[in-house]
Amino acid sequence: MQRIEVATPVLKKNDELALENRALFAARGVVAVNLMSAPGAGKTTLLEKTLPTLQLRFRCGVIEGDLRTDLDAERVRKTGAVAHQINTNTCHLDARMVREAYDAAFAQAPELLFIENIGNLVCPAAYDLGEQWRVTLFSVAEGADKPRKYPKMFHNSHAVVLNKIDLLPYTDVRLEELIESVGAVSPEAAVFPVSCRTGDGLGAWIEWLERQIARSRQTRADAAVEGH
Amino acid sequence: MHETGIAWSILETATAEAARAGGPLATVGVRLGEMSGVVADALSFAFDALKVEAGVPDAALIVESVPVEALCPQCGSTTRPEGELILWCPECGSPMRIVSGEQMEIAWIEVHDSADQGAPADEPSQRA
Repeated sequence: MQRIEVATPVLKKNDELALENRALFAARGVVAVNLMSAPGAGKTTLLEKTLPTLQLRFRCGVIEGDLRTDLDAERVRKTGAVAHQINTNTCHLDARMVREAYDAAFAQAPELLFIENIGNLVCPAAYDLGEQWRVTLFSVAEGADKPRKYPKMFHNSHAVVLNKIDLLPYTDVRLEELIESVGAVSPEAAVFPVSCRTGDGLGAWIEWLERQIARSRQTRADAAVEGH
Repeated sequence: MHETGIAWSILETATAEAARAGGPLATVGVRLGEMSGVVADALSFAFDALKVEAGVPDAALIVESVPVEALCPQCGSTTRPEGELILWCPECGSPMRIVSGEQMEIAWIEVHDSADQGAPADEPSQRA
């Protein structure tokens, strides 16, 4: 019997494609955001409510992922953003699907690209899509134990949007508890309590996105100067 | 997690490595972090269900579980969170980072070499 060390990630192919996506986005000035949540937390609504403002300043694109229908792509298209719908039987998007969708949808590179993942708090956490920012959304109605039950998803997120704060008076959970439970598993994530329904808190979320885009542009400009 | 797809990826990589080594696949060693999202039992079940189709009906899967380890970049303390994950450093209160326990890795394979399989039929037997 001969033993051979392999030491290879199971998802090596996806990781390689994700690296290619990341390089492509960097080269084209695309800031890609992987938006994840359980089904029904409000990912598409967040996009519907914030794209009109974002589009005043940036060319925006959306890649939508669902098992069936193009309902979500239709909804975001109404904001004027270019949107492409992926329909898949898998429980998560992967780097190959994102690249195929990007190549099919965007003749002109979007400056801000949202990738709305399949509604699922488990599997998307394992699949690098080549994004620059990972954002997890969860809602007041889901309760304060969500982050602690799905630590991988929340720990690996750069930002957490806590939606439906307008429902707080109708639940037994306090805002502090919700924010604290995010902090326990993801101390460094930026947390944005919002209500897509009332508009509360969306300004801070938009500002965070604008800051990330400004930082990316600065990095690209610095790299371009160094290259000469 | 969709262990069937993961098991198939493992079989693909392991059989390719075995082919490169020039022998049939005997065993695959996989390192699974406790926070990888993959359930070891479900993975074993899926592996056994798929290995015939993958052409390695006698291959075995060995799963090595890797615990979650967190590091405080501020003071250098490490912890092994058991049960609930709380990532504030117990020593200095700073935010901690997970440094191990999320991996999903094909660590090693074992292949049968020709001595295991006996001499080919057209060569004189080495045994008396």
